[in-house]
Amino acid sequence: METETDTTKLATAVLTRIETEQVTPHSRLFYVAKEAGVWTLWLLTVIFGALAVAVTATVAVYRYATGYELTHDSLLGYAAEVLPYLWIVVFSAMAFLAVYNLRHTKRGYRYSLVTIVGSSLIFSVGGGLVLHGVGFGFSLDHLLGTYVSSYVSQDKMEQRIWQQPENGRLLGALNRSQADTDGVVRFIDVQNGEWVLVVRELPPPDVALMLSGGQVRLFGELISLTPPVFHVCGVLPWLRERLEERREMAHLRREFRERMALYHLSQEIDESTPRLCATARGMERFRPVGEGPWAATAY
Amino acid sequence: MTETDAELVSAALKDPQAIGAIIARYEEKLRRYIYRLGVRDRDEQADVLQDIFIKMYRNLNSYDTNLPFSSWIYRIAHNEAISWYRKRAVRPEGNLISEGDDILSLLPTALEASDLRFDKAVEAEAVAAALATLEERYREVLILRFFEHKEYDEISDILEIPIGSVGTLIHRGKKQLYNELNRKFLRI
Repeated sequence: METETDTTKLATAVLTRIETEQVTPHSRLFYVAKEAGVWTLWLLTVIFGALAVAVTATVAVYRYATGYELTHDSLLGYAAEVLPYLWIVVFSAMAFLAVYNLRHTKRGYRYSLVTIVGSSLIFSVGGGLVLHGVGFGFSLDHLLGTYVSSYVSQDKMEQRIWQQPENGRLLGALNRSQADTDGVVRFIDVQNGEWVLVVRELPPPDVALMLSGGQVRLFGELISLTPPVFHVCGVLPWLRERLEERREMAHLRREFRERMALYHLSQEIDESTPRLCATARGMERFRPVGEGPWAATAY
Repeated sequence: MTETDAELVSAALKDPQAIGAIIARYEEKLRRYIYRLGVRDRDEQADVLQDIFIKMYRNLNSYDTNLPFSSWIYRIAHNEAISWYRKRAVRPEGNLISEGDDILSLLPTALEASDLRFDKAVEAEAVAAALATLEERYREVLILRFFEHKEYDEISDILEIPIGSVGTLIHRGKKQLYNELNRKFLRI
């Protein structure tokens, strides 16, 4: 009877092949490196996924806070225009790769698809939200926008949306080199165009914001392109770089909406001052509904 | 005293001659297994077995001692056999079942519920033919479970699929086998 130590015909053939073909076992280091490589790739995909989530969350939260109703008729239309598709694609690809890599670890096959997808998503989404929370998403987006010309960052997207005077939106800063006259302000937009702004209807908080000298977003009505004259109805700050300021955006937006709603409630200033703001393009979105002066606005 | 598989692996890493003991221990088991997977010709079995043990030797350092060695070598055997019959584009036919195989007793109880009673030889022939027509993934798990008598976790390690999937595949495989028997052979 054959015992375990007997060399069978097969064993002889195998040993002969090992000798003639000079077969040697791959080193342990090879497998350790391979396993480490797969885990590293998994980690990288999770990190890139987290970055994608961070930027997506930053963009989504920020753009919601900046007020889609000023520029778009519906949140859906707004979202379709400003969604960070690139990052969503990056995140999807990274999630897929993370799952693929985890599956190819030594014990990866033991985990169900739900466990693998779930854990990869949790790490990516969790990490992304943490990065978003500390402001890294905004910084990354800003950095890429600065150094990669083809990358449409938050700044570029906002500029594209807000530098549209014919649609009642203007982006720029006060021209401090010009002396202001009563009710008229000189303004330089982001394309270095010089404007005369009519600010007679502008509420005091908006005036104060504009006079602060920082870059601002104007909402109003184009009077003429030559000469460039713009009737201002509202002022919003430009992108906030500091995290705490960005968190204030939702609050600023709510106050802005309330101020805009007042145009529909206030009486004529006087006969010589036409109330352009009550009928300005897009102003209908701020018409109050329900009872009372501070009832919800119509969006 | 009989050496454990792990001890034989350690020995083979130091001296290739030691794989003779591993071969002696697993040759017949693996021969039966690859036969069931479709490698029927005796000479071809010898070639496939050689490839299995060469591959085993080349990858000895990747053997994870936390897993049963038998699962690991069955995994290699499975991959080599599948690769072999895919290269030849053949499917296994009949004669999978021999005396002592317990797949018949493990078939769905629905067979009994149908009041089916037929002689053992006809039963074996019908089941073997039906098994050969199953999708590969079902056939693989059924072979491991009912011919090789592997536990779910071992099948999971051999086929590199989650344990939950093993259960699902076995359940579906048995159902498909039963349907196939009904459709083709029993004409119920």
